[in-house]
Amino acid sequence: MSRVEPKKPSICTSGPLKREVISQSLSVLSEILKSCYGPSGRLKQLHNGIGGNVCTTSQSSALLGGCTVSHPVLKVLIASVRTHVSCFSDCGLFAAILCCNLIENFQRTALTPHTVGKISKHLLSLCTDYLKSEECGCRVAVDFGSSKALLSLACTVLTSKPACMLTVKEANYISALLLKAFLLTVPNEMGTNISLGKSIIVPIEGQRVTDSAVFPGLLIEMPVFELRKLFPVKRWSASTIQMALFSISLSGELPDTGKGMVVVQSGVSPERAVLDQLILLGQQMVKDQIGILVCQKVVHPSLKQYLKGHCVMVVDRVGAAAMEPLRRMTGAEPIASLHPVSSTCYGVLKDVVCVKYASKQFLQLIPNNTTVCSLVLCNRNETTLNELKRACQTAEHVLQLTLKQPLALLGGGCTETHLAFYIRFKAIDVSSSILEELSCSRTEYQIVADSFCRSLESVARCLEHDDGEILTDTNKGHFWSVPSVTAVDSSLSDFVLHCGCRLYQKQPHMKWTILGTLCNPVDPQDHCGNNSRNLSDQLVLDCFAAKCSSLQVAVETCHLILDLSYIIEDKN
Amino acid sequence: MPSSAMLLSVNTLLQVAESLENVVSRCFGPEGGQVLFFKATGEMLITRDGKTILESLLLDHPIARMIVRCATMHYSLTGDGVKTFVILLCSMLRGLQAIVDKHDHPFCGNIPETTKHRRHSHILKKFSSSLSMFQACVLDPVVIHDLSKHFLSVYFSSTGAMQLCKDAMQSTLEIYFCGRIGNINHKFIAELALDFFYQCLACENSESEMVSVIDELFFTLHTEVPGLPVGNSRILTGVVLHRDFAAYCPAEGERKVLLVTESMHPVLSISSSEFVVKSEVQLQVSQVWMTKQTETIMKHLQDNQVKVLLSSVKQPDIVLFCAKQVGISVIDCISSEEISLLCRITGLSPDYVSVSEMLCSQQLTGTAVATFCRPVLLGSRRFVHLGFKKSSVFDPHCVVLCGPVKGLTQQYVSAFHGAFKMLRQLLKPADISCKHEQAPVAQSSSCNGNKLKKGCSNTRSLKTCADFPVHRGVKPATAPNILQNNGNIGCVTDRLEEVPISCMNKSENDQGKRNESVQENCTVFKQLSREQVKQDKTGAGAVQKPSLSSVERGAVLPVGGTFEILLHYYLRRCSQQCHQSEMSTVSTLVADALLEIPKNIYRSKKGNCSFPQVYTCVVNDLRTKESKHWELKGLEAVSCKHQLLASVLQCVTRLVTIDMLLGVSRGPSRNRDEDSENEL
Repeated sequence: MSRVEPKKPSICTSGPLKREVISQSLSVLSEILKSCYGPSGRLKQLHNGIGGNVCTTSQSSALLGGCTVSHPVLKVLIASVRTHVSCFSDCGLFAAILCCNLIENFQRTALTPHTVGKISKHLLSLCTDYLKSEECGCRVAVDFGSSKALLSLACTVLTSKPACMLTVKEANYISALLLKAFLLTVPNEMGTNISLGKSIIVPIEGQRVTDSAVFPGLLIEMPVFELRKLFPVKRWSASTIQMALFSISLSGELPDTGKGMVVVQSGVSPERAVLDQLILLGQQMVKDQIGILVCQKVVHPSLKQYLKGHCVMVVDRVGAAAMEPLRRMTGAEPIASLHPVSSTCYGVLKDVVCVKYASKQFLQLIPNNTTVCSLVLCNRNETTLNELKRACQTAEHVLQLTLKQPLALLGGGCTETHLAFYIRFKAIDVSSSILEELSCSRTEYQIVADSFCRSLESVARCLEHDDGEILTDTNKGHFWSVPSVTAVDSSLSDFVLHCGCRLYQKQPHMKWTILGTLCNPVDPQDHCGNNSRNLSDQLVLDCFAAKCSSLQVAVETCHLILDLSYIIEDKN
Repeated sequence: MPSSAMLLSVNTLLQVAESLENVVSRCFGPEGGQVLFFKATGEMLITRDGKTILESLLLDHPIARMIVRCATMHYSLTGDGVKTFVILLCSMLRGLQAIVDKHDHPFCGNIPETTKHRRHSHILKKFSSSLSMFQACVLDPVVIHDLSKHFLSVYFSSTGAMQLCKDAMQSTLEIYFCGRIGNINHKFIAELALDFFYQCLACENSESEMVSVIDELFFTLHTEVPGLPVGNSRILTGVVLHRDFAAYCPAEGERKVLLVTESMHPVLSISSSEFVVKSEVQLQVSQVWMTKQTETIMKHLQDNQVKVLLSSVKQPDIVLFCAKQVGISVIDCISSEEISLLCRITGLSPDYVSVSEMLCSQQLTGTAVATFCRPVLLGSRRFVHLGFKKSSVFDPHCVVLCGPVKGLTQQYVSAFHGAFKMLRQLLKPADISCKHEQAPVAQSSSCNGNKLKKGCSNTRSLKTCADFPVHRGVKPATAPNILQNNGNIGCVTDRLEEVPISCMNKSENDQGKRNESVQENCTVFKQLSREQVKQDKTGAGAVQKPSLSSVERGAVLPVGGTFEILLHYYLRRCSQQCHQSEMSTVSTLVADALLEIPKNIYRSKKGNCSFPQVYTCVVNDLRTKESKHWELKGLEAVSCKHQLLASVLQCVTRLVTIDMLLGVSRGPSRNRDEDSENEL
């Protein structure tokens, strides 16, 4: 019995953000995250100090999942980024950094949180409306007629994770593989109730990245000696093998007998009875010309032996995760009965083969359709392999989201700088009716808009980690990075070739300013001439849905944190 | 708990209340901040809700706990107003302390502490007596007769029929959400709530029933989706069950739904029985029979066109398998709340206790028809989405509330739920309570609904209700309002036990026990009501509603302290006209206390929006009788405000009647009346 203890009163902290401890720890977190951002981000090693698993990463999912923070305000921030990542996989760092920047910049303005909240909410709606509008300058439509945009999307995700340790060639190779696997999962049929298939990632350590490959169907890893015993297999015809899929255990145990008592008289063996039933089932399988029996759970050795004797291959213990892909690719209905079932439950396979890949042996089940495939991913060591696996999962999710909404945003910092450019332009001649609605003065509006834009720009600035300078052009507001080693006597703009997203190339008439310095804002929609567009090169593209959502989540989380007036902690 | 006795003075009460006020006042009003609350489990909650804030503090002081409890009870009625409750309570206690200090003045410092305390408690005792009469005798009449001239309504009558005005509703909801979730997303959420209200409305004139349904079933009518921006919140037709399909078979058109509460697969032996295995063959045969039985029952369901099987328990694999074979979708492990929701809105009922019973009936009963049944992806989880036809009062819809983080979505959920509590209070049909004979029924039902007074037995309340027969004689319009009075009754009855009781035969009720103060108050009341009658004849022509005893349905006032300033004005006038000194003191006290709320609202404002400006503006309008040109910034429900004042009055009465705190080693025994601590 537990002891009844009186509850301790909670700890109540007022005005949390005004405390130095908190703003300090917030800036530490923000520095950590900023240094990880982008293709040239620095890697972080997560370890527990007592010999636990070591993880080298720069991804938000691994980083924020592994970090434990003590302070409540940081917990809010991290919780909100992690829930975003669980829904969209991508743009976690963007949301976290933007949120930190916004908090820091808004706090400097010394305006009341609710004024800041109202105005920045309005600015956010300007951004989202612009992103959703047709004339948005940082958005491109994804054309499914060609693989270029999709390839760019996958490649951007991979290159932004430097801990995968991929060369440019390897990154291109993996993104092509990813795209291939993704396209295989898109079903050929049309109509309602159509869903995407599945690509299953099979990680193999210690191989070269370029050894990675896509296989149609399912790969089941198996030791060599077991694999040899499985064959031969009985075929229905040259290219069809009948398959039965079981979701219940065929181990010969007595099924659930209910809540009451079961009295077994001496001399009667219930196990014997069940085993007899199993053998009967086996006979049925043989009679129905089943070539392969796959079971989620365990198959009784006697049944295995019996079936093997009749050239029926038995694969057991495939696990619950493999059931859905198996059902999907063969059309088999998982059988949950020990008694003869109708033949409509059986599925069909095209072939079953042994595959030796690197150091591992697999049994490959090859289906007639292609909605299920296996992506074998190779990398040199465990850490990089894990990072690559996470990156590939993210990229796959990004492709799926793009299929739902065929749009992409320009990556490489261009979307951020362009949005800031647009907001600066809009903020200049904000109508007084809007100011009235927001019940704020023009100056207040401009201060908040400036902080908002600077926060966006400094997210873009985080892409540069090597003391380089960032320029922006004055009619599109794109992001142009200048390497740090520049000659003294030349101007910075001599060193730029193309913008961050590679959509534009340097043109002689372009004017430049350093990002974040004030210039006369112009309407970004005015100059829609495509003369400087670079269409041959591969663009850097980000997922539209993920980035839009993370922008909103960051601003909303920032409102939330700025608005906190108390923290109450129940320390019981 | 203190281990010894401790005298309790107004001062102590005030100190405790002010410490609470300190906490809530920062989160008060549209510009108040949020509170981040970490539970002992590490779970995070973000809130501006006074109730949650006060409860999460886990206070030690018994008086503080009592205040929190009173405020929580008020919350359960109106879904809001806890912060205002605390501020108003503080302000009243301050007024009370001023009164007590004034009495002290001539003997300052000359008398020992205990004598002083005794004198104080005497004053307080008298005060609490008059306070408990105050509501029925002064407050309710003032609100119903004087204030009602200024009421706006969410209803408008276009062609004779009362119709809801969409703008007024929107405005009321906006103000509500502004207080509950801050002024960044309040417009969006208010629109969502209004949409939800109209979409759920099955037919005109069923709004109050429909709002009650939503209030009661809200737990199952919403889905939280953390990780998405707030703007993604939306309304879905039908209901979402928070489970994924156990077996899903896509189908077109309408389909029958059947609810089962037991496993569909027979087992060898049920509880408290024995199954004797005599031979292996017997076991095999019974196994075969069991499988056949499940197949038969599924076939039977298929013959009855059942396409969706809902189950409150887990169904074994074999059932899912057989269901898939015949094209029936199965959803198992549905929570009991969702089952009761489905039963309530669709007429679905678990008619069959066992499978064999189901097999026996040729035509299955207790089924419902779903218009669609499909999976829906909300955030990163898959749920079941079921559509149903509308019933007479409720058209099934549900709301998906998104937010960046889990704690915030919870705040939205509770605010959304609270909004429907508020609407329920707002749209509650006015009480007709001239039937005293039915009072006990009304009393008990209202008690069930709100649990406002635990300690007070029903028979006692009946007695108190019967204490006011004179009111009917004078003017039926002011018979005590049972619903809103039930708080005060407890205190009145407490007092009854101490004050000498005299029997009255004038009353038709045989239980007509009253005390002197009641009589006194009634005379006051007679004067008042006579004046009111006079006013009503000459005045701005407030319509006489002979049997109306509460605020009319759908009454609203402009936001920003209008209710408080108006009530202050009328109570002040009332206290000047009142010849009975005690009642006049109480009126003045309450009137002044009320002003604390607008003062708090306009605390940070300057210039035209500062409190004195607003106050003068409203009062000038009143004097010049052009009361309708107040700027329509937003509206709030009068009945909630009225209820709030009543709750605070009741709480003050309860607080001041305590004169000592006694620490005991064990908690007081459970079966004793809660109110008996007054007599300790």
